[in-house]
Amino acid sequence: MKTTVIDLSSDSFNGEIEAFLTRLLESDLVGSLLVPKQTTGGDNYVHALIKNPALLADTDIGAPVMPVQAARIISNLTFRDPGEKIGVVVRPCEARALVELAKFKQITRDSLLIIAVDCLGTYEPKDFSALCKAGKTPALDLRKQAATGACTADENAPFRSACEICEYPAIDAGVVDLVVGLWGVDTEKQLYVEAGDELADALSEKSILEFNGQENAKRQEIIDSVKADRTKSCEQVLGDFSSKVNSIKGIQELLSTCMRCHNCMINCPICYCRECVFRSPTFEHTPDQYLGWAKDKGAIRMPANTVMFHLTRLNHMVISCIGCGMCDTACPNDIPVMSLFRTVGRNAQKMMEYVPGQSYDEPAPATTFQDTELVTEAGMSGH
Amino acid sequence: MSDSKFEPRIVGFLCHWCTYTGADLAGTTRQQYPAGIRIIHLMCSGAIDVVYVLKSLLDGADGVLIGGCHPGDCHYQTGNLKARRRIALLRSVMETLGLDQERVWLRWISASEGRLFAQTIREYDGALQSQGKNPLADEWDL
Repeated sequence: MKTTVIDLSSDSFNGEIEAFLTRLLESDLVGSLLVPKQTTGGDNYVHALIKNPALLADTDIGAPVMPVQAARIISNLTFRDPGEKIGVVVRPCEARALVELAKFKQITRDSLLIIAVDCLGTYEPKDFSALCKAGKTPALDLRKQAATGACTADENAPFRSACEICEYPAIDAGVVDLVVGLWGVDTEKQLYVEAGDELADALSEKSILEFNGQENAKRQEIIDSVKADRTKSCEQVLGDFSSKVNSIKGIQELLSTCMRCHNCMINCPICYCRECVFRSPTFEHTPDQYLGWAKDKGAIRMPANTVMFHLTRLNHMVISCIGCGMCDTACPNDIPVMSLFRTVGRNAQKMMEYVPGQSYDEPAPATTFQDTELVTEAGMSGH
Repeated sequence: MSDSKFEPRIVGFLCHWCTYTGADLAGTTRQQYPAGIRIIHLMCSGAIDVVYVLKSLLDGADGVLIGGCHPGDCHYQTGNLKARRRIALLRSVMETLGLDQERVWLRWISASEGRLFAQTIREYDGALQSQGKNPLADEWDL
């Protein structure tokens, strides 16, 4: 791995990144770039698939908002070989979702040049929009705090709840192709980049980015301390939450306001099935089936199968849940879906000794097995 | 409580090559076992999706039995081992959510084990008798 520290003239962080991305896009290393770009309305950043370098204006690789999980978009772009290399700018949870999607053959890893940016936290899109409309500069404000690691949300808007308990504020450079470090970096004066040897050499050779070998000693230290803090809050939050959902009554209370809109599923980067069983003919019931169930129980909640929808989704994807919290963001009725998935997920992941998003080489638990395993867990001891 | 009259309803998902044939053998050799089991024929225990297990439980089945070939005997090589992973995961999810894991049983019963099939149903029936009725059977809000 090679590293570099680039000195910036007065607060030219975005300008320097834009120049780097322009050189990259003009080179033969990528044919297009997927980068967060300010919307025409000015109050949001969305990923834009950019071919024309002139349109790299108004991009911000660290904008603290995630209206859509980029892994979903990247899956749409690369579930088949797109025929060219696409450079994608992602945050750690998006990079981790890509690892999982690669295991399910939903992305073509070889067609991607993944640029991961340290994540300082994200706001709910509506909160981010309100901050921008109030004339604030949430992206810049956070970036200025990155040097000390004390990144705090704006007084008028909290970070997304998933970010508050996220143990992955940065991603290991081995899982992606290039890392733009923000933690511990004085971004008003410096830019810090890490890349694998091969890519670093190619970037240097093509004069896209010089790797001067300088390191940032503070970055890892700050990441470790942020991780430790978040792990602590995570234990606390999920510990409290698990006592709320350890009974059918608790689950019913949690899902009380669910309207089965499927938004949590649609926005989940891991729920990749093109045709979900819940949107298939399996769940197109006939009137007499509904009436039969109502007769059996005396009454049934309509639309039917609400608890089943969530329980099934838990079983189908919780092992790969990377905790990005898009389900929370997507829920129109503020059901804490992320907390449910992370609470169930941490136990299931521990059982399978699996850390989602960690390595491309580790197979997804659902796709593999061992001859003798999980006998007790499957309830088969002595049978 | 009229627990003595409680007859547990078990949904059995049985694989074609082993447990379903074992159940058949139990019948042809006149093994006695409780009549509360409703058998659904699968080609392989590896074809089980948790959605079917959950549907059974949420609709009020007292127990779900998934029957497959012994490890090494699967007609499709390893379907049963994939089922074991899925059921282990299901039981982990159920445990976290305070749902009774013992309402889901996975058992290996071969085509020649008619007696074991009957014995397993008797055993499950007995266990479910003491666990009582599936509380979800009376829940409308699911």
